[in-house]
Amino acid sequence: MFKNILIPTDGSELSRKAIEAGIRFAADVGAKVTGVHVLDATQGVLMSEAVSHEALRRFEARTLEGRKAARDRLQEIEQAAAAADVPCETFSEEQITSVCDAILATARKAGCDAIFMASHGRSGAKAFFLGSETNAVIEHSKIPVLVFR
Amino acid sequence: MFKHILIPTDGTELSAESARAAIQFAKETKARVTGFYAAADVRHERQKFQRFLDTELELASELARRRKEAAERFLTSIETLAKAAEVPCQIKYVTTEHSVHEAIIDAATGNGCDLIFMATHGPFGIEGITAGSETKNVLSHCTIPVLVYRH
Repeated sequence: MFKNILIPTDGSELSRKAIEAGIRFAADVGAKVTGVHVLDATQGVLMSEAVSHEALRRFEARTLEGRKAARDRLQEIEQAAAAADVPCETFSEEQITSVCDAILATARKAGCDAIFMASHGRSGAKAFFLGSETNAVIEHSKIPVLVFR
Repeated sequence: MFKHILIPTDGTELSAESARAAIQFAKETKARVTGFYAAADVRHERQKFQRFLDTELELASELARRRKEAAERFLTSIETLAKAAEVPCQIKYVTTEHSVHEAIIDAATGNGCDLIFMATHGPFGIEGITAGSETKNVLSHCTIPVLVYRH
């Protein structure tokens, strides 16, 4: 029923658990996995100061740092998938408007038929209630979303 | 990975589609399923609208009776589908004095389910909207995974 499962990661503890569970799930149903990391390089850079050179440098530094972190996180998915004998492809995306949009665009691009995602990402410490990106993905996704806790 | 899937139904076409998908999914993953329907208790509804006239109360009881009949139909159809797919299945009907999403979560934990498979709201229709809000309530309050299904 599911052939290609998208697993978004942001490197948070819960998304790590979701990776592990998502790959187990994919192995179980005989699907491949598509890992995606969305880098929001604007985080921490205020629009009002975005014109200053200092802010621009900070933005560039963050972007470089972020790309490296994204690479590491996607590698975690690739390694875990390889260990479980699950075919895997990964995408490193960058956006400045909406993480949710980038996740859904990747799902379309890679031909995924389900999304396996943690109930929260980095921002959202509460045990109950959904993280904002997860919520947005559920709201706008055209394919089933498995919300993992 | 998932061994016991709860399939809440509200009788809408959307939840029927989701139930079909859930059974297919259970068949593929060799899981068993529990079909579930929670109806709000009519006495509870009465408390909500304290000035029920007798005729209204009669109507409410009639409504509850029909709802139960309909629920049994939906649950039986889940059972039939599961049987045809050779998926072990049990069905549960409850009336709840609390909210439906709490009943769904209680049913999942009480029956040892490890996944709730439910429909999201469709693009149109009031039924779709209520189904969606119930899904959202379940999502915000439960601690086991939820598969939000879309056709």
